[in-house]
Amino acid sequence: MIKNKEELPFPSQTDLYALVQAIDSKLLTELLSKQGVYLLCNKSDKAEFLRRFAFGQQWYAEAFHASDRTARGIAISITGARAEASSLSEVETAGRTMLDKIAVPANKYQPKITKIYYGDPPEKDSKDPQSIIFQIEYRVLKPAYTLMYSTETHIINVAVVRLDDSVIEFRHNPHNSTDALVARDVIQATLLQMKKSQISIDITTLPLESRIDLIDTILTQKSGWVIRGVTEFTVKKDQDDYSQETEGEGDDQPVSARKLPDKDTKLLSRAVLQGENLREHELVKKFLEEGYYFSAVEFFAVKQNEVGMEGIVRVEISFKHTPRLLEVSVGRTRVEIGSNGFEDIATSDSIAQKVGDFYWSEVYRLFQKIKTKIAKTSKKVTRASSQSSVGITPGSRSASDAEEDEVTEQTGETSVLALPNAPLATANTATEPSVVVVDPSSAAKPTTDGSTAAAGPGS
Amino acid sequence: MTAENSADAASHVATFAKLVQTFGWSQRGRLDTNVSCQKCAKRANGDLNVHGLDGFFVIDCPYTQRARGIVVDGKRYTLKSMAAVTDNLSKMVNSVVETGVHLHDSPDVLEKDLFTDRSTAIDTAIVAWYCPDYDAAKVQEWVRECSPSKPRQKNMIAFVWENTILDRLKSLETFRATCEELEFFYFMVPELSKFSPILAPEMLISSIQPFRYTKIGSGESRHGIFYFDVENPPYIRFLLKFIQSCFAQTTAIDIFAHCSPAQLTKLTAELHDQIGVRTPGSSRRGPQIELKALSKTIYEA
Repeated sequence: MIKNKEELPFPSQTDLYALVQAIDSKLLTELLSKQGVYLLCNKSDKAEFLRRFAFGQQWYAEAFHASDRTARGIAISITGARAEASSLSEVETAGRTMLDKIAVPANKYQPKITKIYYGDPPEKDSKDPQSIIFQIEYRVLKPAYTLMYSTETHIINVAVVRLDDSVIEFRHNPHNSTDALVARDVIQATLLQMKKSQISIDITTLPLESRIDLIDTILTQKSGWVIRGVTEFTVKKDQDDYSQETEGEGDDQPVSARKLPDKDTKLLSRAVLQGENLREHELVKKFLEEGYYFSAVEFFAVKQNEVGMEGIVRVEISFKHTPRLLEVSVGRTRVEIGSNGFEDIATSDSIAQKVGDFYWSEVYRLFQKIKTKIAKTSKKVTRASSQSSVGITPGSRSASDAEEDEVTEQTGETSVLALPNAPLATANTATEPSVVVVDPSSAAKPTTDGSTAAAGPGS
Repeated sequence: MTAENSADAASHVATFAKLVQTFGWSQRGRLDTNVSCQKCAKRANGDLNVHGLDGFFVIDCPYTQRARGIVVDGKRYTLKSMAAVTDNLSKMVNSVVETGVHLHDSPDVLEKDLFTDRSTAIDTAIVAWYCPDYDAAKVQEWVRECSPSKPRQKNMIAFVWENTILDRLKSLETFRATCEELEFFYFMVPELSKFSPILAPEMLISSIQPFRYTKIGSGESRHGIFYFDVENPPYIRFLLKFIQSCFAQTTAIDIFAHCSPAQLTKLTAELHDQIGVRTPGSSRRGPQIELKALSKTIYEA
């Protein structure tokens, strides 16, 4: 009766197995409960039970969309941290001190560094290794039954490399958010042991406008990998109080994060491809007014003359909230077939690594560039503020100027970024001790004689 | 005050049993009875502990080709009653699942009281909830929020069949009454695909149910599809693709959409948009498709 089982519009056995592996169990349970179905079985048996049903297309669309990794075929994810340190020996010493001890007592997964080995041996005439790998073990306790508990042991690797004379980088390829959370905590514990602080790449430490600028700059890069269309924007509402939100396995994005509808994504993608400044786009202006910023973006990228490159590669850059870190993921490659069709194929490991490395480093570079620019602005504004306080009269500026994204100092010579409405974070600025953090709200307070001080944005 | 009137509940279970028996479910033991449990601890007086059992059925499972035991708990709760009972839907499902698991572990009881072979795989539990003052949104919210627990060391599949599914069952039974033969086509496991007169619980939940049937007095066997995904007309393309893969060699196929006449008109228009109207003698390949209504019959207990 069935001509060819491949032609059935329902998912195949392989699809369902992949779905069950990839999708969050709770999500699958929720989707099934909408149908009044409850699969009370082990994960390994769920696919077999699922094969019996022929749900509507809508159901499968929801399920497969929910399991991002199934749909997109993530080839590699990169996360990690950077810190100022002159040699890897310091890292090794710190790691050896923590060896076989619970590295982060507060972490419920009780991670331990179980092995330390050299990725690349020290160069000739040098005692310092070129890279070190920490093998980390952590445990997940699962209440499988009412009275019995099962423990799963997971092993992950975190590599540490020296980027230059003063900066080292911890790098990890997580398979899920728990891996990422554990890696982040162990990295932080190691840095604490070394008495070093992390070079922060927390997007929430940037002003709202600069967060948009960061994504805009990444998307409009003209060298190296070039964007060929944006497929997804995730926006998140700015929140001041993060302390109440918990971290752990499960959702990677907080509740306030949402993906833009296709219509809006297409509009913004067109704007990006046409080289428009995203911050000038009406839609983005509206987001900014409402306190939203881009927390993740997914796009297709290509590099001309790249050996082994067949089509365009799907990349996702995500400033995750839980755990709070940057993650760059490389998905499938899209290849054109015929005149109008296309096919998604697995991305080769080498290409995935190259494109992942590129965007990981670029985000770091651009992030630091923006922070430095803000720091300079902050210094200048502070200087201007102190000058005004000793009697230098600021040039007259209209109130509407305060809302402009870029402001010109009273001399009119230098164009600098505006100070944000959101304050610069103070906790993550340890690596930039020279930065003077100015709270614009306090800086713009009226002076005792009723006039406005010159330090605020656009003042 | 009890949440449901026992006479009404018994009537609901009896109606349910009558319907499912039309589709090859074999009732074992009496309805609304107590069965002893070898697994539970004995009572103080030495008797075996008992479980309440509304209905126990065995089918020849089209998926596993084995005898499959299905435990049913009939509930006839109004919305108010359901809100008032301390046992919420999750607990109800847990209870019927536990009965199933314990029956599986009571082979002697299974053989002696329920006349069932001890090799029968009891892996299915159903809460058939007939709500007299049915409100789709409210009932479905309860169903969505239901989260039963996995039993220890046993795989089970549980269902909550509320009025929508019970109506579907009743409608199928009404259709069955007009046929000499009705066999469902199990296509989801292609290597085991076959026609069977048994209606598996999973098939009742599915959006598309292909079948072959012979109307009383016609003597002609035809192919058909019960189509329940009517709320999403754009997905008629999905249905057509399915027909193309499953029924390409068939000359004619009847789609029985479970919907109102207004919805049927809309669906017919959608279908014609997709395939055009095929006239006799037309050279277009594929089966001739006819869209009909599966008359909606309301389940009443």
